[in-house]
Amino acid sequence: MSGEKQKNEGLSEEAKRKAEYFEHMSYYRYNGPAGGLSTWNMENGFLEARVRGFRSGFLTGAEYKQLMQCNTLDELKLALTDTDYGAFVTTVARNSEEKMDLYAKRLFDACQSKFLGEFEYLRMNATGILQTFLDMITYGPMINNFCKLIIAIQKTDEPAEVEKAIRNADPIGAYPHLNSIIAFDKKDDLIVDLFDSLLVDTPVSKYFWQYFLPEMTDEDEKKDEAHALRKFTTEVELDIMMNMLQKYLLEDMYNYSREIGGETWVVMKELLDFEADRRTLNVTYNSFGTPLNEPDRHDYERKMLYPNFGTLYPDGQTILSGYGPKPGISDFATLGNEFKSKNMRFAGLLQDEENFVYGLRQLEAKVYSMGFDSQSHFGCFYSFYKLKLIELRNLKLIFDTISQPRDVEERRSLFKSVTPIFEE
Amino acid sequence: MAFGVTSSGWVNQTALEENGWGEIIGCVNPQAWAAVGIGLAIGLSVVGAAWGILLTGASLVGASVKAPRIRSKNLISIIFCEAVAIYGVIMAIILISKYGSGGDPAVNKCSDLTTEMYFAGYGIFWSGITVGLSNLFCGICVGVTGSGCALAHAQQEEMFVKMLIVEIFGSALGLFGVIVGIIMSTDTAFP
Repeated sequence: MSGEKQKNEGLSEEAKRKAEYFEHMSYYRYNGPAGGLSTWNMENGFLEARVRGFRSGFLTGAEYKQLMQCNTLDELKLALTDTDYGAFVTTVARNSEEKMDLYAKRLFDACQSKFLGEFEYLRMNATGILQTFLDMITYGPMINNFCKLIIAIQKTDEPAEVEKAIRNADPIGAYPHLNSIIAFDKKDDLIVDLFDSLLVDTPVSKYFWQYFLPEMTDEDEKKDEAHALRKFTTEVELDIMMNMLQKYLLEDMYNYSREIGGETWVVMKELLDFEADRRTLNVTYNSFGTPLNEPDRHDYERKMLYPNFGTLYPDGQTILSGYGPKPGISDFATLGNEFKSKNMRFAGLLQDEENFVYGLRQLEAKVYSMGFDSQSHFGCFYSFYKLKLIELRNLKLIFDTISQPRDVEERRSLFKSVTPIFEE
Repeated sequence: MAFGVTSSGWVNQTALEENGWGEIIGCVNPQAWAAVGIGLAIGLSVVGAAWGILLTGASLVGASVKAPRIRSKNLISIIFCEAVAIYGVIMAIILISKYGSGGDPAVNKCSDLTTEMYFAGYGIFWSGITVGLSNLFCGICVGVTGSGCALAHAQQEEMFVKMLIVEIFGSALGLFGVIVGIIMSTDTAFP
C-alpha cells in the first residue's frame, strides 16, 4: 500500500513462499451477508465511526471561498492551517528559488498524503467483508496503473518514460511487484508475457481474463491460449482495454454489493447506478471526434463499453449507442429531449450544454453524499473515497490556479469547476 | 429411596405406566424449574446488556477519536445498557430468596409433590424468562440507539439530548419486565 520496495530479497525459499502465500491471502474475497443493525457493529462499527469522523474533516463551502480569495501560495498555506490539512501543510517549507508550480505540487502531495494515511488506516484495520470491499475500491487505480505502464512500454520504448509512469502511479492502487514491470521490453507478444508472468498473480487478473476470454472463439485456439492472446497485441487499442477493464470492475462491485445484501445493497445500488450512468454518458461524450465515433463501431465496440446495469440500461444505452455528432445540430439538446421524454437521469443536465460538465460534478457530489445516510452499511466507505477524490481534485485546481499569476476573469472561470461537498 | 429412581438404579417403569406421559414434565422436581428460571433471569439479562454495550462501545470509541468531546456524555448510553444487567441481578436475588432450602426427605415420589411446590416452581421459572427476555431485547434496543446517538453527537453538538429521550424510552422496556416479574413471583414460596 505504501509502495515500499519488497524487502524479502535475502529470505530463504520457504520464507519467500510463505510471504507469497500471505500476500495472496490478503486479497481473499470474503463472502456472505453482513449483519443488520444489531450485528454489523461487531466487526465494522469502529471503522465506520472513524470514517464518519473523517467526514467531518472535509472542507466546507466557506473554506473553499476563503481559499479561492488567496493570491499567493503562502497565503493559501496560511488559510489551510485552520482546516484539517493544517498539520500536513505546515511541514512543507518553500526553498528559496524554488519554482512556484513545484511548490504547489509539494503542497498538494502533502494534502494527498493525509488521504492516503486515512485510507491505509482503514484498510489495515479492516477484517472480513470490509477488507474485500476496500480492496475492490483499490482495484480501480490498480488497473489504471497497469494499463498506463503497458501503454508506456508499448507506445514509447524509452525506459525514462516507463520510470516516469511508475513514479506517477496512483498510490492507492499500489501493488508490491509493480517495479518488476521494468524488465519487460516492447515486443510483439508483450501483453502475453506480461499476463503470464505478472498480471495473473494480481487480484485484477480476473478482469483481464474477462477481457480476453470472449475473443477466443476458435476451438483450436482455445487449446493454445497464448496463441489466442497474441492476436491482441498489435490490434488492441489500449485505451479501450483500460475502459473495458474498468467496466468489468464496476460490474464486479455491483455483484459483490448484491451478495452482501441488506442495507449495503440498498445504498450501493444507488451509488453504483449513478456511476454506471455517468460512465455510459462519459464514454459517449468523449468518443465524439475520435475514431470510436464511426457509425460501424457504435453498436459493437462503443456499446460494449457501457456497463450492464444502471438506470440508463437498456433503453438509454440503445438511444446513446446510435449517436454521433451531426453537423449543425447540437446533439446534447436532442439527447436531453429524448431522455426527458422517457424520464431518465441527466435530462436536465443535457439541456444546458455549456454548463454540462459543472452540472455533472455537482450532481456527483450530491449523489455520493447520500452514501453517508443510514447506518450499518458499507456505502459510507465508498462515498468517503469518491468524495475525497473530488476534494483532492478541487485542491489541485486551486493550487495550480494560484501558483501562476492570472487575471480575475481567468481565475473566475477556472474556479467555476470547484465543487463544494455537503452543501445544500 | 431417592425420588424417581429404584434401588437398582433404574427409573421405576411401572410408575410411568400408572401416571402417563405427563410425568415427563409433571414429575420434574419444581425446584429444578425454579433454578433454571433464576439462571435464565440473570443469564439473558447479561446477554442483552453485553450486546448493547458492544454495539454502542464500538461506535463510541471510533467516533471519539475525531470528536473527543463526546466521550463523557455518551457514557450515559453505556450506563443504560448496564442498568439492564442490574435489573437482572436484582430479580435473580429476589427469586433466590423464594427458592427455599430444598431437600425435604419426605418428598420422594411424584405423588408427594404439592400444589404449593408446583406453583412456586413454575412461577419462578416463567418469572425468570419474563425478566430475561425483556432485558435481552431492551439491551439490544438501547445498544443500537446508543450507537446512532454517538455518531450523531460527534457531528452535531445538539443531537445528544434529543436522542437521549429515545434511549430513555428504550430502557423503560426492561423496567416493565422487572415489574411484571416481581408481581408474578410475589406469593410463590417453597415450603
